[in-house]
Amino acid sequence: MPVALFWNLNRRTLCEEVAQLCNAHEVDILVLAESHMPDVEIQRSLRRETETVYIAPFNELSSRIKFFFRYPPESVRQVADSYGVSIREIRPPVGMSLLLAGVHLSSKLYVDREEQSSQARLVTRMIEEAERSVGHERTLVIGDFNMNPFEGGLVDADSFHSVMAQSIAERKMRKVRQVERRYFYNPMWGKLGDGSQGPPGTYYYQGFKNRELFWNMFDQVLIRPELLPYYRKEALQVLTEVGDRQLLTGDRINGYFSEHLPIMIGLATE
Amino acid sequence: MSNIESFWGEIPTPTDFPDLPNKILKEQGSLLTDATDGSLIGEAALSDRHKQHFSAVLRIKVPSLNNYIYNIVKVEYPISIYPVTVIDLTGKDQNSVCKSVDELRQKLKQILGSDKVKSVITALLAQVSANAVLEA
Repeated sequence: MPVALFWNLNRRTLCEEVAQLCNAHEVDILVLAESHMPDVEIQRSLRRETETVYIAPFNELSSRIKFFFRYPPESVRQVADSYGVSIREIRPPVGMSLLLAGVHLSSKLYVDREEQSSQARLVTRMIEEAERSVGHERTLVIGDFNMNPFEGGLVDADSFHSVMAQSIAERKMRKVRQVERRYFYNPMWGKLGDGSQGPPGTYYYQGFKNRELFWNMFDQVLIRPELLPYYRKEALQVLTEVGDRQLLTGDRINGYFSEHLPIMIGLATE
Repeated sequence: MSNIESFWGEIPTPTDFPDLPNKILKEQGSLLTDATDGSLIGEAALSDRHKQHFSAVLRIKVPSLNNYIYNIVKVEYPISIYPVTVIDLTGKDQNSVCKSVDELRQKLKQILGSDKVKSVITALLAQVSANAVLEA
Protein backbone atom coordinates (compact mmCIF):
# COMPACT_ATOMS: atom_id res chain seq x y z
CA MET A 1 0.00 0.00 0.00
CA PRO A 2 1.80 3.15 -1.10
CA VAL A 3 1.71 5.84 1.55
CA ALA A 4 2.01 9.51 0.58
CA LEU A 5 2.77 12.26 3.06
CA PHE A 6 2.52 15.99 2.39
CA TRP A 7 3.82 18.76 4.58
CA ASN A 8 4.17 22.49 3.97
CA LEU A 9 7.31 23.16 5.98
CA ASN A 10 6.92 26.92 6.15
CA ARG A 11 10.66 27.28 5.36
CA ARG A 12 11.56 25.67 8.68
CA THR A 13 14.51 23.31 9.00
CA LEU A 14 12.71 20.08 9.82
CA CYS A 15 14.86 17.36 8.27
CA GLU A 16 14.79 15.15 11.35
CA GLU A 17 11.07 15.60 11.93
CA VAL A 18 10.26 14.77 8.31
CA ALA A 19 12.45 11.67 8.46
CA GLN A 20 10.86 10.55 11.72
CA LEU A 21 7.40 10.83 10.20
CA CYS A 22 8.50 8.86 7.15
CA ASN A 23 9.91 6.14 9.35
CA ALA A 24 6.95 5.95 11.71
CA HIS A 25 4.38 5.82 8.91
CA GLU A 26 6.35 3.82 6.31
CA VAL A 27 6.03 6.64 3.79
CA ASP A 28 6.76 5.80 0.13
CA ILE A 29 6.04 9.19 -1.39
CA LEU A 30 7.05 12.37 0.41
CA VAL A 31 5.80 15.68 -0.97
CA LEU A 32 7.03 18.94 0.53
CA ALA A 33 6.08 22.57 -0.02
CA GLU A 34 8.10 25.57 1.15
CA SER A 35 11.11 23.38 1.73
CA HIS A 36 14.29 25.43 1.67
CA MET A 37 16.51 22.57 2.78
CA PRO A 38 18.80 21.00 0.17
CA ASP A 39 17.37 17.72 -1.15
CA VAL A 40 20.56 15.89 -0.25
CA GLU A 41 20.20 16.90 3.39
CA ILE A 42 16.64 15.59 3.52
CA GLN A 43 17.72 12.38 1.79
CA ARG A 44 20.52 11.92 4.29
CA SER A 45 18.11 12.26 7.22
CA LEU A 46 15.66 9.90 5.54
CA ARG A 47 18.36 7.32 5.01
CA ARG A 48 19.62 7.60 8.57
CA GLU A 49 16.17 7.32 10.12
CA THR A 50 14.51 4.80 7.80
CA GLU A 51 17.56 2.84 6.62
CA THR A 52 16.15 3.04 3.10
CA VAL A 53 16.94 5.16 0.06
CA TYR A 54 14.64 7.91 -1.16
CA ILE A 55 15.26 9.30 -4.61
CA ALA A 56 14.56 12.93 -5.50
CA PRO A 57 14.32 13.09 -9.28
CA PHE A 58 13.25 16.14 -11.30
CA ASN A 59 13.04 18.46 -8.29
CA GLU A 60 15.09 21.02 -10.18
CA LEU A 61 12.05 21.50 -12.44
CA SER A 62 9.82 22.61 -9.61
CA SER A 63 10.21 25.68 -7.44
CA ARG A 64 7.30 25.09 -5.07
CA ILE A 65 7.01 21.31 -4.70
CA LYS A 66 9.66 18.71 -3.82
CA PHE A 67 9.14 14.96 -4.20
CA PHE A 68 11.01 12.11 -2.54
CA PHE A 69 10.22 8.53 -3.54
CA ARG A 70 11.06 5.18 -2.01
CA TYR A 71 10.97 3.60 -5.46
CA PRO A 72 13.54 2.58 -8.06
CA PRO A 73 14.43 5.50 -10.38
CA GLU A 74 12.76 3.83 -13.36
CA SER A 75 9.45 3.86 -11.46
CA VAL A 76 9.10 7.64 -11.54
CA ARG A 77 8.50 9.72 -14.67
CA GLN A 78 8.18 13.46 -14.96
CA VAL A 79 4.94 14.44 -16.67
CA ALA A 80 4.51 18.19 -16.17
CA ASP A 81 5.72 21.10 -14.08
CA SER A 82 4.31 24.58 -13.88
CA TYR A 83 3.90 27.26 -11.25
CA GLY A 84 2.27 25.62 -8.25
CA VAL A 85 1.87 22.14 -9.70
CA SER A 86 4.17 19.21 -10.46
CA ILE A 87 2.89 15.97 -11.93
CA ARG A 88 4.65 12.61 -11.86
CA GLU A 89 3.69 9.17 -13.10
CA ILE A 90 4.60 6.39 -10.71
CA ARG A 91 4.99 2.83 -11.97
CA PRO A 92 5.94 0.78 -8.93
CA PRO A 93 7.41 -2.71 -9.42
CA VAL A 94 4.22 -4.16 -7.95
CA GLY A 95 0.66 -2.98 -8.54
CA MET A 96 -0.83 -0.34 -10.74
CA SER A 97 0.61 2.93 -11.94
CA LEU A 98 -0.55 6.21 -10.47
CA LEU A 99 -0.58 9.80 -11.54
CA LEU A 100 0.51 12.03 -8.70
CA ALA A 101 0.04 15.79 -8.74
CA GLY A 102 1.68 17.83 -6.00
CA VAL A 103 0.22 21.31 -5.66
CA HIS A 104 1.05 24.47 -3.81
CA LEU A 105 -1.33 27.16 -4.98
CA SER A 106 -1.01 30.86 -4.25
CA SER A 107 -1.77 32.19 -0.80
CA LYS A 108 -4.66 34.45 0.08
CA LEU A 109 -1.99 36.86 1.31
CA TYR A 110 -1.00 37.58 -2.29
CA VAL A 111 -3.99 36.87 -4.53
CA ASP A 112 -7.75 37.25 -4.22
CA ARG A 113 -10.36 34.50 -4.46
CA GLU A 114 -10.93 35.02 -8.17
CA GLU A 115 -7.24 34.67 -8.87
CA GLN A 116 -7.13 31.51 -6.76
CA SER A 117 -10.07 30.05 -8.70
CA SER A 118 -8.40 30.95 -11.97
CA GLN A 119 -5.24 29.17 -10.88
CA ALA A 120 -7.27 26.13 -9.81
CA ARG A 121 -8.83 25.98 -13.29
CA LEU A 122 -5.41 26.10 -14.96
CA VAL A 123 -4.04 23.36 -12.72
CA THR A 124 -7.11 21.20 -13.37
CA ARG A 125 -6.61 21.54 -17.14
CA MET A 126 -2.97 20.48 -16.67
CA ILE A 127 -4.00 17.42 -14.70
CA GLU A 128 -6.56 16.48 -17.34
CA GLU A 129 -3.90 16.84 -20.03
CA ALA A 130 -1.55 14.65 -17.99
CA GLU A 131 -4.28 12.02 -17.62
CA ARG A 132 -4.74 11.99 -21.38
CA SER A 133 -1.00 11.61 -21.92
CA VAL A 134 -0.61 8.63 -19.54
CA GLY A 135 -3.89 7.04 -20.64
CA HIS A 136 -5.56 6.60 -17.25
CA GLU A 137 -7.23 8.57 -14.47
CA ARG A 138 -5.78 6.90 -11.39
CA THR A 139 -4.91 10.35 -10.11
CA LEU A 140 -4.08 11.56 -6.65
CA VAL A 141 -3.70 15.29 -6.04
CA ILE A 142 -2.03 16.28 -2.80
CA GLY A 143 -0.78 19.55 -1.41
CA ASP A 144 -1.51 23.01 -0.06
CA PHE A 145 -4.38 24.47 -2.06
CA ASN A 146 -4.57 27.61 0.10
CA MET A 147 -8.32 27.21 -0.22
CA ASN A 148 -10.82 25.33 1.92
CA PRO A 149 -12.75 22.33 0.55
CA PHE A 150 -15.90 24.48 0.23
CA GLU A 151 -14.34 27.29 -1.82
CA GLY A 152 -15.02 27.78 -5.50
CA GLY A 153 -11.62 26.65 -6.73
CA LEU A 154 -12.13 23.25 -5.15
CA VAL A 155 -15.85 22.84 -5.82
CA ASP A 156 -16.65 24.48 -9.18
CA ALA A 157 -17.25 22.09 -12.05
CA ASP A 158 -14.73 23.86 -14.28
CA SER A 159 -12.10 23.73 -11.49
CA PHE A 160 -11.19 20.72 -9.37
CA HIS A 161 -14.87 19.76 -9.13
CA SER A 162 -14.21 17.92 -5.89
CA VAL A 163 -17.13 16.62 -3.89
CA MET A 164 -17.66 15.54 -0.30
CA ALA A 165 -19.41 12.21 -0.98
CA GLN A 166 -17.93 9.13 -2.62
CA SER A 167 -21.37 8.23 -3.97
CA ILE A 168 -21.36 11.40 -6.08
CA ALA A 169 -17.74 11.02 -7.21
CA GLU A 170 -18.53 7.46 -8.30
CA ARG A 171 -20.81 8.89 -10.97
CA LYS A 172 -17.46 9.94 -12.52
CA MET A 173 -18.68 13.08 -14.32
CA ARG A 174 -21.56 15.39 -15.02
CA LYS A 175 -22.37 17.70 -17.86
CA VAL A 176 -22.44 21.39 -17.10
CA ARG A 177 -23.56 23.56 -19.99
CA GLN A 178 -22.87 20.64 -22.30
CA VAL A 179 -19.27 20.21 -21.15
CA GLU A 180 -18.29 16.96 -19.41
CA ARG A 181 -16.70 17.69 -16.04
CA ARG A 182 -15.09 14.82 -14.16
CA TYR A 183 -15.23 14.60 -10.39
CA PHE A 184 -12.62 14.34 -7.73
CA TYR A 185 -13.52 13.01 -4.31
CA ASN A 186 -12.31 15.27 -1.51
CA PRO A 187 -12.10 13.23 1.71
CA MET A 188 -10.91 16.27 3.67
CA TRP A 189 -14.55 17.36 4.07
CA GLY A 190 -14.76 14.58 6.63
CA LYS A 191 -11.89 16.08 8.60
CA LEU A 192 -13.40 19.54 9.12
CA GLY A 193 -14.22 20.73 12.61
CA ASP A 194 -14.52 19.09 15.99
CA GLY A 195 -16.80 16.29 14.85
CA SER A 196 -13.97 14.55 13.05
CA GLN A 197 -11.13 12.46 14.36
CA GLY A 198 -8.04 14.63 14.63
CA PRO A 199 -7.66 18.41 14.68
CA PRO A 200 -10.32 20.73 13.19
CA GLY A 201 -8.07 21.69 10.26
CA THR A 202 -4.50 21.78 9.02
CA TYR A 203 -3.83 25.52 9.31
CA TYR A 204 -4.80 27.98 12.02
CA TYR A 205 -5.08 31.70 11.49
CA GLN A 206 -6.68 34.24 13.76
CA GLY A 207 -7.31 37.52 12.00
CA PHE A 208 -9.38 40.56 12.85
CA LYS A 209 -12.00 40.51 10.14
CA ASN A 210 -15.70 40.16 10.78
CA ARG A 211 -15.60 36.69 9.22
CA GLU A 212 -12.89 34.43 10.59
CA LEU A 213 -12.76 30.63 10.28
CA PHE A 214 -9.71 30.24 12.56
CA TRP A 215 -9.11 26.66 11.44
CA ASN A 216 -8.65 26.04 7.73
CA MET A 217 -8.22 22.85 5.74
CA PHE A 218 -5.79 24.18 3.15
CA ASP A 219 -3.81 20.93 2.94
CA GLN A 220 -5.85 18.35 1.09
CA VAL A 221 -5.89 15.23 -1.03
CA LEU A 222 -8.20 14.76 -4.01
CA ILE A 223 -8.89 11.32 -5.45
CA ARG A 224 -10.27 10.45 -8.85
CA PRO A 225 -13.14 7.91 -8.82
CA GLU A 226 -10.82 5.30 -10.42
CA LEU A 227 -8.85 5.18 -7.16
CA LEU A 228 -11.81 4.99 -4.80
CA PRO A 229 -11.81 1.16 -4.65
CA TYR A 230 -8.29 1.40 -3.16
CA TYR A 231 -9.08 4.06 -0.59
CA ARG A 232 -10.26 3.57 2.96
CA LYS A 233 -10.89 6.45 5.27
CA GLU A 234 -8.68 5.11 8.08
CA ALA A 235 -5.71 5.55 5.77
CA LEU A 236 -6.18 9.34 5.68
CA GLN A 237 -4.78 11.25 8.63
CA VAL A 238 -3.92 14.75 9.69
CA LEU A 239 -0.83 14.16 11.81
CA THR A 240 -0.38 15.95 15.11
CA GLU A 241 2.74 14.39 16.52
CA VAL A 242 6.29 13.57 15.52
CA GLY A 243 7.54 10.87 17.83
CA ASP A 244 6.92 12.18 21.32
CA ARG A 245 6.60 15.78 20.22
CA GLN A 246 3.24 17.43 19.70
CA LEU A 247 2.60 19.60 16.64
CA LEU A 248 -0.27 21.21 18.51
CA THR A 249 0.06 23.38 21.55
CA GLY A 250 -3.24 23.83 23.34
CA ASP A 251 -5.82 24.42 20.64
CA ARG A 252 -3.37 25.85 18.10
CA ILE A 253 -0.55 24.65 15.87
CA ASN A 254 2.87 24.81 17.50
CA GLY A 255 4.70 27.50 15.53
CA TYR A 256 8.07 26.00 16.40
CA PHE A 257 7.30 23.49 13.69
CA SER A 258 5.44 24.53 10.57
CA GLU A 259 2.22 26.55 10.67
CA HIS A 260 0.71 23.66 8.71
CA LEU A 261 0.03 20.13 9.89
CA PRO A 262 1.19 17.21 7.74
CA ILE A 263 -1.36 15.01 6.01
CA MET A 264 -0.96 11.38 4.99
CA ILE A 265 -2.89 8.97 2.79
CA GLY A 266 -2.47 5.30 1.90
CA LEU A 267 -3.96 3.64 -1.17
CA ALA A 268 -4.10 -0.12 -1.58
CA THR A 269 -2.92 -0.08 -5.19
CA GLU A 270 0.25 -2.14 -4.67
CA MET B 1 26.55 -2.19 48.03
CA SER B 2 25.35 -5.58 49.24
CA ASN B 3 23.56 -4.13 52.28
CA ILE B 4 21.32 -1.93 50.12
CA GLU B 5 17.82 -3.28 49.96
CA SER B 6 16.58 -3.86 46.42
CA PHE B 7 13.11 -2.48 45.73
CA TRP B 8 13.02 -4.27 42.37
CA GLY B 9 12.08 -7.67 43.66
CA GLU B 10 13.10 -10.56 41.50
CA ILE B 11 14.01 -9.27 38.06
CA PRO B 12 12.64 -11.60 35.38
CA THR B 13 15.08 -13.28 33.04
CA PRO B 14 14.65 -13.08 29.26
CA THR B 15 13.47 -16.68 29.10
CA ASP B 16 10.30 -15.61 30.90
CA PHE B 17 9.30 -13.29 28.06
CA PRO B 18 6.90 -14.30 25.33
CA ASP B 19 8.16 -14.24 21.75
CA LEU B 20 8.46 -10.65 20.64
CA PRO B 21 6.51 -9.75 17.50
CA ASN B 22 9.69 -8.33 16.00
CA LYS B 23 11.45 -11.66 16.53
CA ILE B 24 8.64 -13.59 14.85
CA LEU B 25 8.68 -11.19 11.90
CA LYS B 26 12.48 -11.51 11.63
CA GLU B 27 12.22 -15.30 11.54
CA GLN B 28 9.66 -15.16 8.76
CA GLY B 29 11.75 -12.60 6.90
CA SER B 30 14.80 -14.85 7.04
CA LEU B 31 12.76 -17.74 5.65
CA LEU B 32 11.81 -15.64 2.61
CA THR B 33 15.41 -14.51 2.12
CA ASP B 34 16.64 -18.11 2.23
CA ALA B 35 13.86 -19.43 0.01
CA THR B 36 14.66 -16.88 -2.72
CA ASP B 37 18.46 -17.15 -2.40
CA GLY B 38 18.58 -13.51 -1.37
CA SER B 39 16.76 -12.21 -4.43
CA LEU B 40 14.13 -10.95 -2.03
CA ILE B 41 15.16 -9.90 1.44
CA GLY B 42 12.60 -10.37 4.17
CA GLU B 43 13.31 -7.57 6.60
CA ALA B 44 11.74 -6.76 9.94
CA ALA B 45 12.28 -3.25 11.19
CA LEU B 46 11.12 -1.36 14.25
CA SER B 47 9.48 1.65 12.70
CA ASP B 48 8.33 3.50 15.79
CA ARG B 49 9.71 3.46 19.29
CA HIS B 50 7.93 6.33 20.92
CA LYS B 51 5.37 6.89 23.64
CA GLN B 52 5.98 3.52 25.22
CA HIS B 53 4.75 1.60 22.24
CA PHE B 54 6.50 -0.17 19.39
CA SER B 55 5.76 -0.85 15.75
CA ALA B 56 7.46 -3.60 13.79
CA VAL B 57 7.05 -3.93 10.05
CA LEU B 58 7.81 -6.95 7.90
CA ARG B 59 8.75 -5.90 4.40
CA ILE B 60 10.30 -7.27 1.27
CA LYS B 61 13.39 -5.48 0.04
CA VAL B 62 14.57 -6.13 -3.49
CA PRO B 63 18.28 -5.33 -3.91
CA SER B 64 18.24 -5.64 -7.70
CA LEU B 65 15.34 -3.16 -7.96
CA ASN B 66 17.29 -0.41 -6.26
CA ASN B 67 16.19 -1.70 -2.86
CA TYR B 68 12.51 -1.33 -3.64
CA ILE B 69 10.48 -1.87 -0.48
CA TYR B 70 7.14 -3.62 -0.30
CA ASN B 71 5.51 -3.52 3.13
CA ILE B 72 3.52 -6.59 4.09
CA VAL B 73 2.41 -6.33 7.67
CA LYS B 74 2.80 -4.05 10.65
CA VAL B 75 2.49 -5.13 14.27
CA GLU B 76 1.90 -2.48 16.91
CA TYR B 77 2.36 -3.35 20.54
CA PRO B 78 2.64 -1.66 23.92
CA ILE B 79 5.50 -2.13 26.31
CA SER B 80 3.57 -5.01 27.90
CA ILE B 81 3.59 -6.60 24.39
CA TYR B 82 0.26 -8.45 24.22
CA PRO B 83 -2.38 -7.81 22.96
CA VAL B 84 -0.89 -6.63 19.68
CA THR B 85 -2.56 -4.95 16.72
CA VAL B 86 -1.84 -6.46 13.33
CA ILE B 87 -2.21 -4.24 10.29
CA ASP B 88 -2.30 -5.94 6.91
CA LEU B 89 -0.50 -3.52 4.61
CA THR B 90 -1.24 -5.45 1.43
CA GLY B 91 -4.90 -4.64 1.07
CA LYS B 92 -7.98 -3.09 2.52
CA ASP B 93 -8.40 -5.43 5.47
CA GLN B 94 -9.24 -3.94 8.83
CA ASN B 95 -6.77 -4.10 11.69
CA SER B 96 -7.01 -7.13 13.92
CA VAL B 97 -6.09 -7.61 17.54
CA CYS B 98 -4.19 -10.72 18.68
CA LYS B 99 -4.22 -11.47 22.38
CA SER B 100 -1.45 -14.06 22.39
CA VAL B 101 1.59 -15.35 20.53
CA ASP B 102 -0.49 -18.14 19.05
CA GLU B 103 -3.09 -15.74 17.72
CA LEU B 104 -0.36 -13.56 16.26
CA ARG B 105 1.31 -16.50 14.54
CA GLN B 106 -2.03 -17.60 13.11
CA LYS B 107 -2.81 -14.13 11.77
CA LEU B 108 0.66 -13.77 10.24
CA LYS B 109 0.31 -17.18 8.60
CA GLN B 110 -2.96 -16.04 7.06
CA ILE B 111 -1.42 -12.83 5.67
CA LEU B 112 1.93 -14.22 4.49
CA GLY B 113 0.25 -17.20 2.84
CA SER B 114 -2.42 -15.10 1.12
CA ASP B 115 -2.92 -15.02 -2.63
CA LYS B 116 -2.06 -11.32 -2.57
CA VAL B 117 1.37 -11.88 -1.03
CA LYS B 118 2.03 -14.80 -3.37
CA SER B 119 1.24 -12.64 -6.38
CA VAL B 120 3.53 -9.89 -5.09
CA ILE B 121 6.39 -12.35 -4.61
CA THR B 122 5.79 -13.78 -8.08
CA ALA B 123 5.81 -10.31 -9.65
CA LEU B 124 8.99 -9.30 -7.84
CA LEU B 125 10.84 -12.51 -8.71
CA ALA B 126 9.80 -12.11 -12.35
CA GLN B 127 11.29 -8.64 -12.42
CA VAL B 128 14.44 -9.76 -10.65
CA SER B 129 15.02 -12.47 -13.22
CA ALA B 130 14.15 -10.11 -16.10
CA ASN B 131 16.74 -7.66 -14.78
CA ALA B 132 19.30 -10.46 -14.48
CA VAL B 133 18.76 -11.38 -18.14
CA LEU B 134 19.17 -7.77 -19.21
CA GLU B 135 22.39 -7.41 -17.24
CA ALA B 136 23.84 -10.71 -18.48
